[in-house]
Formats: sequence, C-alpha cells, structure tokens
Amino acid sequence: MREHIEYFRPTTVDEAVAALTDEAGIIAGGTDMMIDLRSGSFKGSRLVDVTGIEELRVLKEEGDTVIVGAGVKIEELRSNELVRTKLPALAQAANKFAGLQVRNQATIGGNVGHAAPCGDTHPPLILYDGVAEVAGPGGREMRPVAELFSGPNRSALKAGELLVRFILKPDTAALVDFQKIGRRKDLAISRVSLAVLADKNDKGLISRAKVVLGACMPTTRRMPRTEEFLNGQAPSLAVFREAAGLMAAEMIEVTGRRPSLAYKEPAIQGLLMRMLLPLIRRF
Amino acid sequence: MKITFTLNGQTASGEAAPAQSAVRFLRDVMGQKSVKEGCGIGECGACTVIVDGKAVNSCLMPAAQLEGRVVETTEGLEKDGQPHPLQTAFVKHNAIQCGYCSPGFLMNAKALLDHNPAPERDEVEKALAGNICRCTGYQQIVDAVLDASEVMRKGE
Repeated sequence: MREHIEYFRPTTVDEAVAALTDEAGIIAGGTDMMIDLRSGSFKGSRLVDVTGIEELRVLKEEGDTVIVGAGVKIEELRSNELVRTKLPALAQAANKFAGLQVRNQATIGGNVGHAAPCGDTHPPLILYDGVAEVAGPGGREMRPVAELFSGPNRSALKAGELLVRFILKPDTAALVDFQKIGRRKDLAISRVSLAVLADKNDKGLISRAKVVLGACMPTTRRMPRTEEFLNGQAPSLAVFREAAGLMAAEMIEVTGRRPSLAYKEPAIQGLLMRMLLPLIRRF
Repeated sequence: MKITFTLNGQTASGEAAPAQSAVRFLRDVMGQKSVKEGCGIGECGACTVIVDGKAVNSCLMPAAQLEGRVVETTEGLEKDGQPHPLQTAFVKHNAIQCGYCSPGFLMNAKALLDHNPAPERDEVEKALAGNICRCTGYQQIVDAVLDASEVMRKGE
C-alpha cells in the first residue's frame, strides 16, 4: 500500500470532475478499486471518492423512463420495488450478483466503469436501451451504455469523465428475463449471461425480440441477426434451436474459435432456448 | 487522515493512511482483532463488519468511508458479560471449528436478524453465501442462525 496516495471526497459532480486528472482513479463501493490498490495495478496517485455526491444516488421514475444514479448500490437494485416492477431483468441481475456484502458496497456505475466483460449489469442496461449521462471537463453528454465499453476491462470513458446516471426505458414485453451461468450458485463470476425480451402479437407470433449476450465476448452486445430471425416467427422449439445456432454464430464472428468455445457454444444455445420456452408454454 | 466514527456504540477515532482498507484500520489502529483479513479480495467474508446496519467486506472498503458511520464488530456482540444469542447458538450447534471465519459469519448473521428476525432457511443461506467456511460444511452454521432467531424472538 503506497502512503503517498491522496484521498479526496467531493460532494458535487463538478468538484469530482475537476479532481479527475490523469493520475486520479475513481472509488465508489471499492469492490474493484480496493483490489487494484492491493495488487498494485492502480498506478495513480489520487483517489476521488464519489460516495459523498448526493446526485449519484438518485433512483426514480421520470416520465416513461427510470433514472438510476451511478452510485446506486447493487443490493438496492435487488430490493427496490420500482426496479423490481419496471426493470425486472436488472433486479434479477442484481439478485445473482456476487454475495450480499459485495452487493451492499458495489455500485452500478462501478460495474459499468470497470468494464469487465462479465459485468452482470451490462446485459440488462443494454436490454432497456440504457443511456448514460457522463460528466466531463466539457460538460455533460448522453451516451448509449453499449458504447461505454471499448474492450475487456477497458472503459471507453476518458480520464476526467464520471458516470452520473443511467436513463432506462422499462418494457412491458410479456417475456423479460436475465439468466447467468457461473461455476456455482452464488458468488459466481458469469461465464455466460443473457438478457432476453420478447413479446407476441394477437396472431401468436413473436412481435419483437431483443437478445443481449454478456461475458462471452470482449464487451456485452445485442445479437441483431438472432433478434431479426425471431421477429415474426411462431414460437416453437425448432425456431428457438435455429435462433440459438444463429446467436452462437454471431458470437463466434466476434471471438473466433477460442478454447472455451467447446463449452460456451452449447451453453449459450441451451440457455437461450430455455429462456425463450415460456413463449410456447405461457403468454 | 483522522477518522471519527461510532464503534460498537461508542464514539471512536483513529488515524488512517489514505487508501488504507477498513480491515487494516479496524485491526491495526482500532484493535478490533475479531475482524480477519482472509482473502483480501472480497471472496471469503472473514472481514465482514456491519456499517450503518449493513454487512460489508471491510477489505473492500477504504477506511476513509467509515467517517461518521456506525460500525459493529464481533467485539461488540457481548452484552453485560453475556454472549449474544448468535454466539451461544454457534457454540451449541458446533458451528465453529477453527474459528477463523466465525466473526464474519456472526456479523453477517446479525445484520440479517436485525432486519429480518424470522428468516426462512433459504434466506439464511442466501444471506450467508458471501462467507466461506472450510471446516463445518455450513449446515451447523445455518442451524445456529435459525436457532438464534427463535431464541431472540422468544426474548430468552
């Protein structure tokens, strides 16, 4: 532990942004930064603790959107009634996120800012067309969450930028689900995560489908060809099998044939099929 | 930097290095030796303490964030020379072997019972998922927490 690190706890976004020089790192819940400090992988000389900024803790409905402050804790996402009813896929991701102690500390902004490919909040944020308000030296701007990741553990945020809040669009589709596969039931790092949304029209056909795959590629992303294929189809096992094959092909286009593919290819296919099944049985 | 906070019901203060973890601060500066640094990376839960009513891993929290907060450690469980019902239940159910993980389990279990005095078995399991014990196999620990919750509700 280096002794020369400077610790600064601002109370406003503007103060924080002014303090975020190239040498500075952001700390909120600490669940990633404290590990980086311990291992020595954080090379900066200043920590900007953003937990004192009231604005980052907002969680409210606004028009047809839900605003989630970047400093909202994962446990709050899991237990909050507004999130559970309006953004169930996000609440489910929070429910499967690490253990209780980590959920009590970790923030949604940290999970996005850290940009780990397995970040469990990424698929639901993209599923709900999440847009982030980012504060920087030049003021504030809105950026789609999908564009906040530039690679594995590489955020597209620049030095001096701070995530303020996420604006999410709740969706009333009949099927909204998040599932992940890890090596154990709790406290598991996602090997595969999937957020899915689908609705049926009055003819019983899939009217719109959204599929967001996480943890398998450098960054979490939608699977557009899989979505297009599902749209307009009558739900059936054969259709789901074909969709699952398409999704695997889309993933391989991004990743190439990595050693883990022997496991991940059938795993993501089985998971997608299982998640789509309620379209046949229910709704 | 000077940290002033409430430790087990008493106002306390101590000098923390910038970026020092809460576990090192609580152990080395504040003498709370029940708080164990197990893995140091938030996997094992041995360093669990209660901050403002919530169980947290003190290895993942900078000491600076304890400023003005209400902190509970296992040192504060005993009241008037009597062990806390959780401690009694842990002994009764053999929920302890080497003991290294026990303070973390006790604080996590206390935070659970403070919020939910009558948890179901699966709620106890979910709450304790962030704590690792390599001796007991967990059944005794879950039994102990359920037993303690019953004792506490009866006010014994």
